[in-house]
Amino acid sequence: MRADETLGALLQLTSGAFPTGSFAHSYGLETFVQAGLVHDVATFGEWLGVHLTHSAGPTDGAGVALVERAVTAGDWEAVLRIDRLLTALKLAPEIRAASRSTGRSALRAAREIFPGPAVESYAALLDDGQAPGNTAAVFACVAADLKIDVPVSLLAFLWSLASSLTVVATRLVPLGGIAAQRCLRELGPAIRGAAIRAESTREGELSTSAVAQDIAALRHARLYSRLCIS
Amino acid sequence: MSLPAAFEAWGPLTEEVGKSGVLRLTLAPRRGRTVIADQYWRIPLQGLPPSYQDGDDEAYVYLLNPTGGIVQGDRLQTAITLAPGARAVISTQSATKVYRMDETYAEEVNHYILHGDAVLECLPDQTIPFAGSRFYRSTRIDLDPNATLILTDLLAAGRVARGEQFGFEQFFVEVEVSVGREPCLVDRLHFEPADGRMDRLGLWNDYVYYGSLYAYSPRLDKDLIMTLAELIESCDGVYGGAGGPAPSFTVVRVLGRTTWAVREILFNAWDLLRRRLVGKPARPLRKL
Repeated sequence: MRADETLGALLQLTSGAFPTGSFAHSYGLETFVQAGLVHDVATFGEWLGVHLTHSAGPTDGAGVALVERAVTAGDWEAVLRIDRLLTALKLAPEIRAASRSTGRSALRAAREIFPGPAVESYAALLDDGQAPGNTAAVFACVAADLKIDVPVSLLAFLWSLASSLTVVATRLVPLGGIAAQRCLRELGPAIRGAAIRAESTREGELSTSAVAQDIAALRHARLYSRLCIS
Repeated sequence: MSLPAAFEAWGPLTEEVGKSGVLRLTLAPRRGRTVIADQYWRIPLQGLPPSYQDGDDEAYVYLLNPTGGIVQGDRLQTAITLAPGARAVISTQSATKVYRMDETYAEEVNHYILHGDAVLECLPDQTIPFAGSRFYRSTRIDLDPNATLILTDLLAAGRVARGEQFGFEQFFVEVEVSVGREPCLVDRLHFEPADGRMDRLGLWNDYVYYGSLYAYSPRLDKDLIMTLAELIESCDGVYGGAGGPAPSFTVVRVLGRTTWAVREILFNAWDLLRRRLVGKPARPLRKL
């Protein structure tokens, strides 16, 4: 694929218009907003920085890199093992469910829009009940089919996650559109840092250390009124 | 276990530095009581003879580290196997202090295997990583689908009373619970304070004690998890939550500003689960 075609595919895959349902998920952010702890651009930026560096980066980010490499090497046993580990590492039920639900939606769309051998093999494993269907695994299969280099896939995955949470925050906090986008822009170094780290993370190092965010995700299930599913 | 790169960089732990403690216990029911059917230990690890604090078959076993703490180069390996029908409470004699290290790190590897309908309640004291310490702890639990597990953990940010918090260099702790060899719940935390402030929003917020509880039982249902979540969330002064990420599993996480506040909430969670899963109330552990 030519460079401009790769870029086009990546832009489409990471676009907010790609139907994954990610805008319905706050990953515990809504709990922080309702508690008054995230209430402006600065507090949202701090929350998102922690989410990227200590939660999403070392699990799903690192998972994208590990799965994409395994798919490229044809090691589907490793794909399944890492995919299941990603599920096991998500201790808040809503986060576990969110990853599967956005993963399934992304896979359904990818089979139509970016059909390829890895996406088809993965779909068969999911239908068979062997693969849990985590969003990071699906993204990695699409990236492998499109032959996107792992460092680029990682940046794209984490950027799209940060961008989607920024849109969610615009609605929840609420934040002005320009202020929110400036915040996302300023998180560029954090996104790059998390991506670089994720690139060299090994299976035994996949971790989520954002304890308070995990507690918020657990508490989200019992919030009195909520706009987001997680 | 697979060591993270931050630890591996120090090279393998050798016999020359630190101590290599081993403790292997097999617990089995004999004549109406759970007894130690087989044991092997090497200092600095040691198991005390069981006591029967509930006045029934369940053995209370305390693990002892007579050196008083963990220093650089220490390798501690504990393996405890419970036969079908065995019931045990495992705890430590006192808090685990992880001392400052000039070089290298210390590691603790625990493996618990529960056969048949065995019951394990593992309630160690808190772990206190001192400034300048590097600690790796891995706890793996293999469960028979009919077994029951309640495991708690309590971590301090440091010697908080002295105003020392997040002074440690590396703290990696993992709990991996498998049912029939399939990992169902893996909790891995890796704290590196040099990497950025630990009191940021979503990390530890402004708390300095962290407690967790993991439970599995074929009798653990949605109603019990709901009751547990309500109990945890209604506590003042701490920030906690509970949920059931997989069938028959529940997990509790709680942050607090004092040891006793976190200890109390973990005790209350243990009490609720113990009444429903083991059939008796919790009791304050009597240390020998």
